[in-house]
Amino acid sequence: MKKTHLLALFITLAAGCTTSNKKEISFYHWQSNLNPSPNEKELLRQIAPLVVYLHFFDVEWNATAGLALPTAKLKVKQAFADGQKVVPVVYLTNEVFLKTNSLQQAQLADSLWAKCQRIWRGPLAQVEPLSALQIDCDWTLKTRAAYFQFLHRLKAKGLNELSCTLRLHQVKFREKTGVPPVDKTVLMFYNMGNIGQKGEDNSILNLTTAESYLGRLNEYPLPFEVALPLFNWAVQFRGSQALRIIYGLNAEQAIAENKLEQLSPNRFRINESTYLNGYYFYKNDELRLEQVQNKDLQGAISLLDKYSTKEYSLVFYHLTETISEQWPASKLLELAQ
Amino acid sequence: MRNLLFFSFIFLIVSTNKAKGCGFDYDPNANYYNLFDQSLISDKSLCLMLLDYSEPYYYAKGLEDLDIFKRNLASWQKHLKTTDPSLSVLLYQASLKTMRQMLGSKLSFDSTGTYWQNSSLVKAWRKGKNLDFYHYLIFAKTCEPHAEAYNSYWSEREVDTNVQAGLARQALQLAAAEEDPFLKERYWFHAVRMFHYAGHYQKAINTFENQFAKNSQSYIFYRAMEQAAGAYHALDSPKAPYYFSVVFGALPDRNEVCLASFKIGNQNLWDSAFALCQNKQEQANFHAMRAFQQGGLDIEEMELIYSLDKKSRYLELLAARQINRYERYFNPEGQNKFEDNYGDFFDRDTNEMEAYLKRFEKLLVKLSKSTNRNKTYFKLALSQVYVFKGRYRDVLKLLNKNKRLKGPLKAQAQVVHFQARLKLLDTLTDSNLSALENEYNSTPALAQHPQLRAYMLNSIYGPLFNKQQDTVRYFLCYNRVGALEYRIDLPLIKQLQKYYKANSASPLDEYLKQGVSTAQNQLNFYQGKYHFLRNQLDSAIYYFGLNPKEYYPVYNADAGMPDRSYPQIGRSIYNTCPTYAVKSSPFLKQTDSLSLNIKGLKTNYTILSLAQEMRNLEHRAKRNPDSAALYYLMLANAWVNMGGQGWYRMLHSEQGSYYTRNTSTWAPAFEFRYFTSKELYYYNPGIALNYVETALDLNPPNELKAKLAYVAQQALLEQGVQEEAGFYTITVTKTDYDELLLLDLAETSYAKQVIKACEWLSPIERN
Repeated sequence: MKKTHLLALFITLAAGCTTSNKKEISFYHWQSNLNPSPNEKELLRQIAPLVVYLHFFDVEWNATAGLALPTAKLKVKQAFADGQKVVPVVYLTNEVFLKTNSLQQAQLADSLWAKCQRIWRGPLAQVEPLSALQIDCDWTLKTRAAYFQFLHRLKAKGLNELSCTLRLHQVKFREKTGVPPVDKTVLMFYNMGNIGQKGEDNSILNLTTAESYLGRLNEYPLPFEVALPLFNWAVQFRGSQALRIIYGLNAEQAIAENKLEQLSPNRFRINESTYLNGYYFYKNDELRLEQVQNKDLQGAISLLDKYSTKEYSLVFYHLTETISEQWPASKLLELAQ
Repeated sequence: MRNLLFFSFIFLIVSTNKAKGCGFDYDPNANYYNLFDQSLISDKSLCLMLLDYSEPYYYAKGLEDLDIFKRNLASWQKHLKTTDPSLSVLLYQASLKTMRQMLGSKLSFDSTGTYWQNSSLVKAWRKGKNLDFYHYLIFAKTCEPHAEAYNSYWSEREVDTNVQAGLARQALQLAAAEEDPFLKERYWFHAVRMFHYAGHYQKAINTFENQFAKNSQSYIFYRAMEQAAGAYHALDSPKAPYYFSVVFGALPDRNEVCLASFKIGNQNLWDSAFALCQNKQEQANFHAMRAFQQGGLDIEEMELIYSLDKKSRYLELLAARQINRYERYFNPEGQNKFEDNYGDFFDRDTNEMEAYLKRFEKLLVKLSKSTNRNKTYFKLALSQVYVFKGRYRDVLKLLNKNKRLKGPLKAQAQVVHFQARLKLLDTLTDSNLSALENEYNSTPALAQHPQLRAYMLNSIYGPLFNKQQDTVRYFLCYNRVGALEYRIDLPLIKQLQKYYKANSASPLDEYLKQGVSTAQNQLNFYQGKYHFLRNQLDSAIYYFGLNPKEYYPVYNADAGMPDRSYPQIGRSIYNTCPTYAVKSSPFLKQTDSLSLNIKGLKTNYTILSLAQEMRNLEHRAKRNPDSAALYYLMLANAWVNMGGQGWYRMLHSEQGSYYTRNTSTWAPAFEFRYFTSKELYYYNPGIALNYVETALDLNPPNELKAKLAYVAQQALLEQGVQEEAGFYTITVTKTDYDELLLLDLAETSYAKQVIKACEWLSPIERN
């Protein structure tokens, strides 16, 4: 008991005194075109987010070229309003670090940095120097050393703030997975259920699973933000096997046409082989629709507050034209209270 | 978080069967035994579409050398009536700059290394002949930088649609002026492509539809059709998927692109596009492409294709893919099928497949009895299905009738026949083993099969030896002796030593005893390690010492890691290793000098000399009570340093080795499988804690106590990690080290350093 008190005191002192639970809000923008719609602009105006984390491009291993190359580059048609703080994000696959040698990795940091600078100055027409960058990579034990070295190189470019994404297991097993050499992290608080298991109800946000990983959150040695999901998807099953994820599936028309039979509130069976949202479904395939509700996000924040006395801001994933239909500014602001 | 929106002009998302994301990496192709040779399909132009579990397309070695992937070059060779090797260089490698210098200078070499003086084509140009070809190449190479379909380069290269449209118009003018129909078509192709990329979709379509002859069969006609399909796609026309399907059927080298671009948004689009098909072969293209796309159900599409065209070339291919899927289901590698939350996602080897197997068998029966010229192929496929279904005697009956087979079909028949007979075994005797091994060794189709040996050992012999309680052979069917390094099992080590000493001339024993001298050294070493891990240093030194000195080379930084695969073990093994997060803090400096003032310590160690010196330190502690606490601290540090957090974690617990597989060669892996030994293979943190507690009993000075408390924390942390991984359960210590360091010793300079760094408070969850 004595020890518990002592450590709790220690942690509280280390964390500093906080009096308010109100959280700042940021967003991810993960679309391939930057062209904010009136709805998105209005949402941003009402919320005044701290940062928009803007996905610039991915880096994947190109087997044909034998090189790590950028893909899915952002097309900028219209930038955000003046004054909106933007931080570029680059996603790298693990394969990049598995297949490249140390020389290529050094060049990769240079190339990635140069490309971010060009997008920053060019299509985004930013006047201020690029001073913050976020890297998204789900590193493993095999890629950890190369990835961390890569982060070191990026940081040496003179960035004021280098951040990276963090998975729940990397919080719990940090001695094994390592702590990345960055200034702060964004904890990805979604995709945590067992998506391939038919009995799973919602793999996007499963608070029971999440809780089992949060015991050491407070002692994580880096500042963190928390990314929360604002998206829905469907999982296609054949027999007991998950086949794929389908984003933004609108099942209503198929139900109306009697091509889907409802098995439970979020499960459907295909009555007649057909195409939906560009994917072919064979007769007897099943669909599990997964959505995130307001109460789920409230539960997530309560859980995080239970395990962390540190301040953290929320990063909503992700900004889309239709986001405000389910998530108007008032709801998001209420969540952050 | 993964972006699936992938920009390109005509190519959309390339679907893959791979699950990307967190989890341990593994090769899904290495998870089963592939005994049915997919490359038996008679139409090799479809080989890209064979099933590959780790890549979306089947890139077999040497595939790029097949003629079917060089149709463009072949069409030029035919047109120019030449086989001059410089043609390929001119078409694909020579830069625009080189081309421009080709006529006006004495250019002999360029960066491609081609000696142009020897090129018959260049010689002709320099004599003023065949200049249409030359001018065409100049134009084509001018267009190329403006035809980047992917913007996937580090340098920014934004395309200029005005330039593209200008080039398209220029291409039309050049085509009009060109008399050679071959070159005329090539110019039209560039016009279609440039209009398409410039976003002038209707012009691209009009150029294709109005200029090319409808009955053209040329390579470039289909390449232009593919571009027109891209333009149609932009206009949501059903002609897009239809054209992509036609090109898919015509050009093997465009299979990948066409399949990725074959996008059907809704049922109406499929129906409209399908209605455009001119014949049943074209309709079969649609079903085949749907089968090949992610989520495609091969058997259903096979049945539909069969109903359209019983001789369709796709049936062999789809049958090969089906068998490959079933092999993964019925022939998983070993008994401990890889299972985690990630690995099987997007795969389809579930019980559902058994239901599909009945449909597949029914179709194969029809195909193997039909008048198809390839009915033998389907008979082999059917026999493989009989193996899956346990109808081994039916396999023998079916294949006994095909004794006149030749070449690869004969080899496949031998493999399936052998497989069926292996499956019929219920015991292994000296006599049946000798017969099987002799047949295996003397039949090239069996002995040269890349996976059959592993299948025999892991799926047939191994389980039977296990049933017969022949532990040593059971072990050797799955493992090399090296596997024991991380799962030391003393009784098994002793049995193996006996087995290696015994004389046996059976062919299988000869195979299993390969590398016997190395194995015997390894067994001595593991026996030593068994004792070392228990801190039984005298016994450890004895068994380590049975091997020659060369078995334990000292690490040499210039020569790199020795074969024994131990990193350099230095004197710093006695120093405290702070946790990762405080390594960069000044705290580190306080930890790095423990052993400096101890006389007689070696600088570098082998595992043998380390064990000897650790024994000496124990002796010194007993002889010198005043310094004993310091020696115990050094020994505690040495043990912690062998753990997952330490300076020398490779020493016992090679990080990741538990998860590493060696299946690429399909030889028994250096991995301990099929045995559930509970023997130690990670160091026991309790040994370090014992040293700490012994030292504290000696009541050393406070600064030393603080260091002991810290290293105890490190050992406890290691226990926590190992408990998490299921290796050890936490042992309760009599001292509360948090309290000792944070309260009782808080005023020591060492505790102040620790508290400043503070990160070490990680076992907080235990409170």
